[in-house]
Amino acid sequence: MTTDPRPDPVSSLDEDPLLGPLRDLPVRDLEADRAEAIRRRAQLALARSARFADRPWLGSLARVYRLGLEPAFVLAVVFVYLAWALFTVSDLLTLPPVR
Amino acid sequence: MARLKRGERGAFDLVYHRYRARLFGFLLRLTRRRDLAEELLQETWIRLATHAPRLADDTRFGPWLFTVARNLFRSQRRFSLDALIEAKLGRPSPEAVERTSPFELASASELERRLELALGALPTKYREVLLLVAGERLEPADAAAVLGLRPDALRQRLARARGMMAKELERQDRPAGRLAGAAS
Repeated sequence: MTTDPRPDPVSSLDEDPLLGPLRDLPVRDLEADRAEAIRRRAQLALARSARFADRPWLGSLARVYRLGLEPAFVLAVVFVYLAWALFTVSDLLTLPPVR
Repeated sequence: MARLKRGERGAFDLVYHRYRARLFGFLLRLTRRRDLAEELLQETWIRLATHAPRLADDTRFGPWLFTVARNLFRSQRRFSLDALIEAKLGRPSPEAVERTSPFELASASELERRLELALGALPTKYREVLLLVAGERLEPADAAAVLGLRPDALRQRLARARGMMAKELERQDRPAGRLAGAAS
């Protein structure tokens, strides 16, 4: 049976002169207003998910609406409006000249 | 955990204040871009908020959050230019290495600057193992779970990362210091 002569990098971490100082690298944090904005957004998401916690199907339905139905509805409205605008302009351009 | 599952804001705030800076530091050193790190951080917390009611009672926040953050980073990276360059060169591009904010580097000590640059020069899979095990001091089993590795594979990867880090420190054109001596 052979033993591995190399030190275990995990167990000898504290004594390791190369890896040890990595722990002492300064903590990089967000700016306070950005951190607060992220916290608020996450709090909103938490409130939403907690609201649907006892009715998971309702949460799924809301997600389907938010991610699928709502964008589809907006796209449809935009498409109809653009089509109407194009046809209207086309009709105006093809009107017989006024005599 | 029970309070968070009920959607209590106080419980969320506790977790947020405990892990925010650690997660951000991890993401910042992983991405080397402050804007991207902020974006991924936000998405990580929204994932926690969204999944909170369905989390198992014995879920530990640290490993869970680091796993989500790391997975989000990998998803984002799949189509990024940095990943293509790293795959081609076998190491991050020099631009990516030096992308750390000049202010942060200027305010760092010589030792910190050398460590940050050496970390940044490592390929991502070695950088992330160093950040989790040596930087964040996650338990080996937790770090292995975050990275989707077996414990023995984690040990191997960590040893490899350490060797690459040592080489990188040697490569830096600086007077030989304590770290360079330790690396040899």
